[in-house]
Parts: sequence; C-alpha cells; structure tokens
Amino acid sequence: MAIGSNSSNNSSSKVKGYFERISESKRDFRRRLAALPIAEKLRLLDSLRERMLAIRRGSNAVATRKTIVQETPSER
Amino acid sequence: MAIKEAIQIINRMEADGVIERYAIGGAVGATFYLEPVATLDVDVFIEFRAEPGSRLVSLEPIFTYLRDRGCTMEGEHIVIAGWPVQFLPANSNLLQEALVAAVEKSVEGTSARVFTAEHIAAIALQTGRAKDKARVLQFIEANAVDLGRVREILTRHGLNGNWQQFEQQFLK
Repeated sequence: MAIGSNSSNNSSSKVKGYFERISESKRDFRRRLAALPIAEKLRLLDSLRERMLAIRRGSNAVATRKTIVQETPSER
Repeated sequence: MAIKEAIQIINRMEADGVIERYAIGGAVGATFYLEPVATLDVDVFIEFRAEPGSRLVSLEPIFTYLRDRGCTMEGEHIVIAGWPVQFLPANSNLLQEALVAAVEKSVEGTSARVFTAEHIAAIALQTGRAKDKARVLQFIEANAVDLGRVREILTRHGLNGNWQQFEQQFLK
C-alpha cells in the first residue's frame, strides 16, 4: 500500500514536473518573441495575418463543399 | 502585404494634413510591447475634425485621399498596403489622453506613433471583452506595464471598478 502510494506520488510529481517544464518553455518562447526588434515583430504580424486568412479561406472552402454535399442528391 | 508600408502611408497622411495626430492602438499597438498576436486589422486612433461650417465629423477626406492612392474599402475598413485599417475617433477622455501621451517608435527608420503600454492596458480594461482582459494579463505577466501608472490612469477616468473586477477575476 505504502509502495503503491509512493509510486503514485512519484509519477504525479513527474507529470507535474513535465507540465512545469512545458509551461516554462512556453513562457521563455514568449519572452524571446517579445524581445525581438519591433520590425521583426511587425513582419511576424504580416505572416500571422496571411496564415489566418489562409485558414479562413480553407474553412470557407470546406464549408462550401459540405453545403454542396448536403444539397446534391446522390446519383442512385 | 506589409504593415510597415501601411504605417508609412499613415505618416504621409499626417504630413499632408489629412489627419491630425494619430496613434496606433489595439493588437498592433500591443505588439510594440509584447509578443506578436495574430490580428486581422490595424486600429488607428485620430482626432476627428469637423467639416468647415458643420459640427459633424466626416471620414470623407481620409477616404478620398486614400482612394486616390489606390486603396479600397472593405466594410468599415480601408485597405492600406494590404492591411485593413480602421480609423477610430479618440472620442473619450481616456482616448484623448492616450493620443496626447502616445510615443514615437522607430521601425527600421520609419516612425510610428503608438499608445503607451499603460494606456493600451487601461483602454483594454475599459473595453472589457475577454480578449482585452487576456491582453492586460499578457502585459502583467510580461512585466511590460507600470501597474502604478495604469491604476493612476484608471482612477483619473473613473475606471477603478473595472480594475477591481479584473483583479478579482484573474489576480486573486
């Protein structure tokens, strides 16, 4: 029982440590992005916007295809 | 598509007297202090001038100027160098103060006037949508604002309640 409890505590602290490392790594990445020269950050804004627009176009196309599938009767 | 080019055109509008003092706010303004956050448009706050002989303000001189330079309208935005730009009136005491206090930043030799981090945070707290509160949290986490100054601004504009609500929700 005691062994089982220790092993459970160990794995829970390993998982906690894993998430803490992920969290710290994300914070570090955000800090590095924030510290970039402003011109570089604005170029990133340009790229992010292009990506957002591409995703929107993609999801609109999927929505249109779905609509067509729904509206077109099967050939049988 | 280049936001720097859009800023250059807005600078030219100011130099040509089409707009008076301007300042960038919103997500693009926040990017001057934080990590870049995806956004689809640029918020430009300006002093609106009434038409001669009228008490009404008009965006027409801005649209005419930009249309003559090949820009197009997209809903309530005008597309400058591929970026939809929204010209917003600094129509509250807080926005007026933010416009006056805005700072010049250099983007590889191009000047850009931007709201201070503290004013962006105060405006976000006033606006109060989820994404605005997330932005305030980003500023705090990144230690990119002087919270004392933010509190002073909020007090001056009767927004202490907004801060208390935010503090209760996210900081306690």
